[in-house]
Amino acid sequence: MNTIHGCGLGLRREFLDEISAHGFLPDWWEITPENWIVMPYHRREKFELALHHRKAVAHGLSLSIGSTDALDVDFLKTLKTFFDRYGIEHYSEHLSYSALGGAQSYELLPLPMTEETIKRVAQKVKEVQERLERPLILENATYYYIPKSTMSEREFIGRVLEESGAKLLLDVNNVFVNSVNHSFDPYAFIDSLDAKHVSYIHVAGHYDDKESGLLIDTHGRAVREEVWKLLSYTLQKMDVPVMLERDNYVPTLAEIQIEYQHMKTLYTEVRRG
Amino acid sequence: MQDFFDKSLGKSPFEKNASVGEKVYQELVLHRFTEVISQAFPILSATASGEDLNEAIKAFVKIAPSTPYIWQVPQNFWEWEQEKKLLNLPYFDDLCWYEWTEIELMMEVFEPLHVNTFSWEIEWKVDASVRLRELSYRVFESEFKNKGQWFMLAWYDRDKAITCYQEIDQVLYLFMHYLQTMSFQESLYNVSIEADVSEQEMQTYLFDALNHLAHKGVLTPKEIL
Repeated sequence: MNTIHGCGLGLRREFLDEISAHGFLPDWWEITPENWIVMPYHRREKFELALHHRKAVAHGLSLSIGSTDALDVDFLKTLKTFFDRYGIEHYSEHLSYSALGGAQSYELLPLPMTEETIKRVAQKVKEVQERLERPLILENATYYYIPKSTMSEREFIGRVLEESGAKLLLDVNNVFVNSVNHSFDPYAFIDSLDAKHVSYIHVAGHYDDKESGLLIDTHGRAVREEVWKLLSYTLQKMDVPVMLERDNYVPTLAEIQIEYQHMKTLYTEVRRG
Repeated sequence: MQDFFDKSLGKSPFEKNASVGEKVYQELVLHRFTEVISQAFPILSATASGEDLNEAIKAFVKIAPSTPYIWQVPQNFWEWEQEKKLLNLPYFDDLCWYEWTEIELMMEVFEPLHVNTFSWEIEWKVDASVRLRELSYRVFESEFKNKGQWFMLAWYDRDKAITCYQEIDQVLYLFMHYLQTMSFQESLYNVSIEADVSEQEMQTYLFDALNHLAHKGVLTPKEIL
């Protein structure tokens, strides 16, 4: 991501009224295209104002890249029109699937980590890139269950990146959540990644679900201290932009600014060495 | 993949020895649907039995919509429940129209408005944002017991960026209804016949209401003046 630097923030409709050229602005925005493609009349101007002041990266939800279904060509055309209109150069999605047989679950479901999946995803990544005329970045997703697989997550991600040529959106919170739920060392996971494959980083909050005994990736809470520590460690290993996600229980822009500044300070300190 | 997908949607049961992690996906999917439906239909969520609504959404999840835009799911649920009638609420259709119209109009992009003073001398049309509905329940006042006949006009106010609702009488409803597909004169003629009055009498009767609607942008001149 040559044109994106520093610390980003997820643009949520709750922030729109607070955005001004003289107020707080992150270094860049991340936007969910599915939430903005069909734009309420009164939000368009404010959305365009936000993107006028800062560059944006798109982070999608509905591509379902791992599905055995064919890609939704109409959806891709809509995405391309939207990206072209707003000058969005970078598009990331999840290494998972959410739709099958034409039906949507709207949840990121875990993929079988197999050669067959790698081939399918790699082929679809290439098709997406051709149709959108821009690179696709893939995010390591959380998973609470491992479908029948023949390799580890780390190997699976590495092979998908290798076969597809896609870059990685490294979600540090997802690494932490998965490490607790599946008992592995998150620091060793970070160590095993090749920094040149990482495009940017996500950081978010999660929920400790006592009933299931699992950590759940909710994006609805403040980032936990353990995740900040893992982010700090990760940033020492790779010089890439980082972005704060909040999708549920979205606070005001003024409130999330505090958490953003924490991330920015951490980022700046690591960069200074 | 299909087997796990079906289980996550609740279409088929988990095996007895299924892991907690496997089962949690069913809850996550259901939560996702429940959240978006209850946010779009807050009055429905507050008035319907929580248990019944939960069961209806669970059944709806199994047929899973195909739209990649999750905000459209409540409309799919409305259409599906209209047919299935699992909730067995006589006012369901009216209430969903009332709640969904607000979202539908908010999510559309309308041309800028040209507000004018009403006059019978020029040709008018109904604004693209206008929605008309004959209701059997006064859902707009959260009254769900007494059945009757009410007429509702909804439109999008560009300046305030809100969906507006106004209860109107049957004559105005009919006139607006005709005007959506007919010329101004044809609409006036038809509504006069239905009300069994002269066109001049009908003009007098409708003038204040139409003037009000012209100022609100509900009626706009066919050609910009």
